[in-house]
Amino acid sequence: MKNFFSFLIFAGTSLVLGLGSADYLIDDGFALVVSRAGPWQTWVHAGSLGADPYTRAHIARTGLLPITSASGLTYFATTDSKGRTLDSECEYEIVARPLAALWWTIAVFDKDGKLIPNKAARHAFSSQSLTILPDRTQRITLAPAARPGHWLPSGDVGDLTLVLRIIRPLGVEGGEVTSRVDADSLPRIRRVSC
Amino acid sequence: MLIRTLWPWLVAALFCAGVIHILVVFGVPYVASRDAWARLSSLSDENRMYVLPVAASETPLPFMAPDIAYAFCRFDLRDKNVLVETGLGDTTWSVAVSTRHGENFYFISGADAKRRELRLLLVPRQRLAREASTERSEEGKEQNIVIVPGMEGLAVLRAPIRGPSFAADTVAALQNAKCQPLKQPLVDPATLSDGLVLPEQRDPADIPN
Repeated sequence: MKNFFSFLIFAGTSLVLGLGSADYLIDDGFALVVSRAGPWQTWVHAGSLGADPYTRAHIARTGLLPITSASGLTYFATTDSKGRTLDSECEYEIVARPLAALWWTIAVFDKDGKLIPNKAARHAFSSQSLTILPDRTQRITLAPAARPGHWLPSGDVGDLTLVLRIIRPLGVEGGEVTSRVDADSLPRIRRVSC
Repeated sequence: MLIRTLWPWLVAALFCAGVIHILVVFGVPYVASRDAWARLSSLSDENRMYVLPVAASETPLPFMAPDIAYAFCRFDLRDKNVLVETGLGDTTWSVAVSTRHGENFYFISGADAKRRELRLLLVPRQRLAREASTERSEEGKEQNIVIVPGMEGLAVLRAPIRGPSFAADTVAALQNAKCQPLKQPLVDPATLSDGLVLPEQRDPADIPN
């Protein structure tokens, strides 16, 4: 009876720890495979032939189809810059500075990756559709109701995910052009009201 | 007393948890039933180009950019090489070729290509040595030879849309993209596994001109 009890503890601990840790790290990653910059995070090896097992598992599980980080970067944000979960009922200001890249776009989705239906049929703004203001910033207002300027409708879907795609990022390191983006240059997400 | 009795079991549990963790992490790509390949397989045949609707409420993959028009081809090279042909609308257009697990081994954008038409000849690595593929087609058109590590994968065209008024034109341009097996038959794939195939073992009809 004592051995049976011990075996139950062994089996339960093994399964909970083994499956739980795998589930957590495949979903959220860790410092070696996920790069975080403020509210933005990206799986750095996604889409690469030499991707690590955690990245491969994450991509398979989520159904994403990434391109390599040398060709494009995809950042996800589920919180604002202060770490509060993005909520469709709140109003946010997304402040970007022109990124050194061939093209970039910010789109809003629900937490499952679906577009949010809205009468304006607006789901994203790109580097070509955003006006550069006199202070050299580009601003988007994410809100459920119409706002002046670049308004991105958030509907009433609850939790939101913002996705920033940068095609052909052009960073400069040591005088050489690289496929990197300075983390400080990524857009800030400020909650205006809730 | 209880701890003294249990600690060997707990140590064994930690070890076993590590094994389970590793098996799950390595196994997920092979058992995932909702990865991109599976999702696209459910709505496409092999060796055909499909253009996906832009900003649709139901997209086959999650988090698809609403301001990018996508076209994809699930290619299978077991019988024949496959040719992907597309125009490149501008410098931001791109073509990525990946394994069925989404690992890209080839990427070219309009900015890299420096020409308006792109022809990619997809050739499996294990058949490359016996192919007479060149960087110029029989018709004299330039083509890039893409060496594919396996026998199947995905070619994905991405065409950023400059604004809502450009969406229809961008999609129409993407619809001209083609993905098709080359006409001339190649080596019998059954002979591939044993490595070397001598010329006299090949059916003369199978030898490309």
